Amino acid sequence: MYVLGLSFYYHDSSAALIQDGKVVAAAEEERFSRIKHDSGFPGLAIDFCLKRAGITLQDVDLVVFYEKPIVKLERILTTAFATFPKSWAVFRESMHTWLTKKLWIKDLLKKRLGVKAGKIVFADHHMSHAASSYYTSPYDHAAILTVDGAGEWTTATLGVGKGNRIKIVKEMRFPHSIGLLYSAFTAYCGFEVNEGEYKLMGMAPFGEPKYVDRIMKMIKVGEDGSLWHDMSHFSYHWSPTTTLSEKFHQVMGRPPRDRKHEDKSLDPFYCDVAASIQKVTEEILLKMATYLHRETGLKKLCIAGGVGLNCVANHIVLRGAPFDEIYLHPACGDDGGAVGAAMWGYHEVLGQEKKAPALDHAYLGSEYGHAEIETFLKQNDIKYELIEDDDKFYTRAAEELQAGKVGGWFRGRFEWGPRALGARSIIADPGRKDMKENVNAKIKFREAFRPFAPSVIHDKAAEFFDIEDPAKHYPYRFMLYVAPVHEHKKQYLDSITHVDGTARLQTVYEETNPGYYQMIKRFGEGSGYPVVLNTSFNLKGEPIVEDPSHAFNTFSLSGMDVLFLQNFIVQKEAKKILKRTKFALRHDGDTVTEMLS
Amino acid sequence: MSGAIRNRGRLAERGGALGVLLGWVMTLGLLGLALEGIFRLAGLKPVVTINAPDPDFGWSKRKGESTRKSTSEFDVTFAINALGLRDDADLTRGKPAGTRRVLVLGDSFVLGYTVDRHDHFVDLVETAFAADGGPERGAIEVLNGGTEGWSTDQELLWLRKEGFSFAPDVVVACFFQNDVWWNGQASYAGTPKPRLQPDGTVEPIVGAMPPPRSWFATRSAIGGLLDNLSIGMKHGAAMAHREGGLTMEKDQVVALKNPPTAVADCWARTEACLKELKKSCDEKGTKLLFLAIPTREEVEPGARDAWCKAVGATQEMVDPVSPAQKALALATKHGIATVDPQPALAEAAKAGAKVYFEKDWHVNPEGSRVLAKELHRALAGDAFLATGASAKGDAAIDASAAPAKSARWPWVLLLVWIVLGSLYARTNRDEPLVAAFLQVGTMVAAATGIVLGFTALIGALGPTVGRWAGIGLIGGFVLWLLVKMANKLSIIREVYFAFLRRGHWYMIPLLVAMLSIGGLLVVASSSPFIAPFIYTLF
Repeated sequence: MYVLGLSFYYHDSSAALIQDGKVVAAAEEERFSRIKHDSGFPGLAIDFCLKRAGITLQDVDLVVFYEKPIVKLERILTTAFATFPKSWAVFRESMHTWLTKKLWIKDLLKKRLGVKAGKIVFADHHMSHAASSYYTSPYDHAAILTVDGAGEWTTATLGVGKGNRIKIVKEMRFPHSIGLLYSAFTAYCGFEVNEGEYKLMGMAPFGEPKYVDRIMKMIKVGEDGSLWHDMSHFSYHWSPTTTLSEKFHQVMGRPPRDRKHEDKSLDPFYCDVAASIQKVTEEILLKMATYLHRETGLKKLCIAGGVGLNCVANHIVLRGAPFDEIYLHPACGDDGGAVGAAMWGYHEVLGQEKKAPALDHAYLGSEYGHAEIETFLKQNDIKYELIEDDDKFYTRAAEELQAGKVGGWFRGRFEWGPRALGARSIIADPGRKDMKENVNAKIKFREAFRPFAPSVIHDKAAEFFDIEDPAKHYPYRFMLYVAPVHEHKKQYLDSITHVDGTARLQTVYEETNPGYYQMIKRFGEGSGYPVVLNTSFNLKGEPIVEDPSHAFNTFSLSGMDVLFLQNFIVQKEAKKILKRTKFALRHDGDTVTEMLS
Repeated sequence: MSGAIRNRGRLAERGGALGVLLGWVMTLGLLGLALEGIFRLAGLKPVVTINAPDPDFGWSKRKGESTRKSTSEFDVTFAINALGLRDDADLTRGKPAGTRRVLVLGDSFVLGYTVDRHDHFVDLVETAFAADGGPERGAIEVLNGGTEGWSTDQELLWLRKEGFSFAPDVVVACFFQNDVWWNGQASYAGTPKPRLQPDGTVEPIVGAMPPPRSWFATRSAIGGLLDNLSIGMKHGAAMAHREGGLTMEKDQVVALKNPPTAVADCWARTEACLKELKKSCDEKGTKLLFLAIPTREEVEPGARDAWCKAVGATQEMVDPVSPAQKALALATKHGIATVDPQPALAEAAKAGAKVYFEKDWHVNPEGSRVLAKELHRALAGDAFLATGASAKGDAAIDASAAPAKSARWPWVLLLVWIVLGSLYARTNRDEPLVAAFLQVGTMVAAATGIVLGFTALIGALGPTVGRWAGIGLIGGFVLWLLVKMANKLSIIREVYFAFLRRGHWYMIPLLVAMLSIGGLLVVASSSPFIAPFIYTLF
């Protein structure tokens, strides 16, 4: 039984296909279309999913869209109505999108997919989130917490998953939202909404949470983590161009940070603001989780929604909330809604049992075999070295890193979700003092203050990081937790240790990514630390690479030293520009309002 | 629990009963408005009437009432003064000293159903007398005693009860051929009316008076249509003549050479009316002038053929002596002075002037001027007011023509062009300004051409066929929209009913506007010509 889940017309369109409750394939459209944060119809991603499963659309039993457009339209119209005439401009802009695209999603699905209306269903946005986490988790009975900016009306839910059913027990509604609050501060600190939240998170350790009291003047937080915004401080519910009102600036004491300074300076004030909103977010999540535990008495928790990408807050919940285990889906954001929608359709609509094994890896994308890569290299007259023996190849790759080279790692199926997890990664030796600056300046061209993440083989993780029993903590596999770096190991992990002494690590398993595991293991044997610096295989503004040509092109356009395409090795001397691609973000910058419509 | 977290179960997926009810009320209201708009677009306008049931005359004009009647041919406002006449507001019942009065009786021709007062022959006659000059002759007031739908019998009874109270020196009885038929009837489209027996005695009204037409019927196209349908269903058979391949209004049968036998009785009663008119005027010492207004078929070349074709008759079936000529002969027979404007109207028509409207069967301002001159000339004669018609009078009649209204549509189009052009240029900043305005101008011109083309086409089809063609055209367009949007309709329905169910009655108008625009956008997007404009302008 096949169910196709779709998420589009918002950031990161995606498609996911499940077969008998197991995710067969899942991918964001941007990987194929090469448009960062592509929000269009995920036709290429759908084609990939079907091809991967070896089926056609006629074999699909159900198509599930990840949210309910009509209910979302209700929210938008109601909000515009309530704030009219101030909301006129935002109403006009959002209606343009709605009247030309979003309103007709069902019709579009019928036409593009050629399926009958009866096969198309719509899941509630937060139900999709909840389903993405619970149904792919290893639990049969768990509490569920979903938190994001806004779905249709809902901004956070508390629920319970039991067997093949999910029950949403409580919810928080727009405009009161942790996600929106965090995005509002993202804008205030000079970063792009929907793009810069993780930069704000990375900036937070550089400051002190001095302004929590000021933030608390604008919101009220209940003991259950419920949130109430004093909307006089915000303008995202009626303005198309601004997120915050003048009153917000007055309360915070300074005007917003100029976006032009994005990566050029770290003003202590804004670092303190970042630290403060991070702390508020952590406290709210912790209260919600604690309340949820008190209400349900359950020991296991599934988290989903865009806020679930805040790995620092996740770690606080892990440490502070009385849950034994937490599961997060690798794609916590709206892209993950595609898997969630499909899972919901399979279990709730088709009434199937939850019996598939937990999703313990994120390698759900496309892959390219030996022949395809060799053909590509030969056709483009690219000089390469092939090491057919895997053991020798892993050893050679590890040696290259030990030699101080920065390499592009392209192997197996690409990752589902925003993180590069050793299938499409740029890797380097994390022990070198200059490696962070080197990778930042020559390859990633990104903000200097942002840390890189480490990949560590799971059986050695506890030696370097302060974590217990990593195997039962799935989020570590998906780089969704941070963990303190052991003090005595920091000397080896300079490039991946953040200013607060933590790292956003990924635990690597031989069962799920054998090549990456073996390479890191050999690197550890040589260096003394089985940890590599891992960052996504892309340039700034570019989607993560999907096929060998993307990989080679990005390699050629960057300062990388070596490219590992499966067992093929290409040295920097062989670089050539196949395509002078200029990558740019899809837009110059969102407002929270755009995020909502 | 503080804050905003709420129990999921408490969240109403359905609106309250009141909200849902209000939503349905709003829905029905909007549906009504949409239908009203479609009907009006199709030319089905509200019933315009200033008449109210009257126990003495069947119906009469409401005092103080004012109504605007607008069609593709004319746009007329007629205001009834406090005395119940379409005349000056300061007119007094008592005749001022030194003033002589002419009271004109008649039906819609005299009321001035299709012309404004400055174009109306009744008022133009007064203007002509004023222009004739000579204060020594004193002022001459010409009063409008016309009422839509009246026949000679009702005019006579009103003259006796009301008309003579204005102390007219001359009464002008205006005749039109349909008077003959209705003089013979005891009701008009279900409304009872008085009539005269052939011996001149008054036959009182029989039956209950109908209630006045409702606000809904007189102010809305839907109401008017329903009212007309209701009347048609009740009295349609009484209004139409279908026999021997002829299809015409019953009051037109008087023009046939061999009319139904009932027409003889109609003529007998008409003759009685004329005799009684003469008698009443003589009793009051008032002079009587009989004016027979001809039909278009008697005036305009080719009009007779067209009429015959429309009703299924041949020229041979039409009596060569028209009802107007017969009426004039009858009036003469009973010693009533007459005036026959037919030759003057025919001459004007022969000279190329249009003296009747195309769709409406009344005279137009040009025809009204011809009538005014003929009547003025007759009244100025020694037999009546003996003022002696001067050339100034005719000149005044010609000069009273209202300055031609400058057409507004070119300015509207210009405004549309500027606004749309500016929007387009603003949206497409990379395009040269001139090119942007040229493109939008082309679009506006094309749209205008299409509208004008269809209007001309419908106009060429004649009033009846044109109306149905208009309805068909609009219906066809709606059908085309529905076909183009076939796949979207289920979504529109789903969205609409979701809002209805959830009690958002106050957003229904907004939603309807949005869904309509959305639907049109979808349709427009399928047209490579329109889509770029729609999207950029939107």
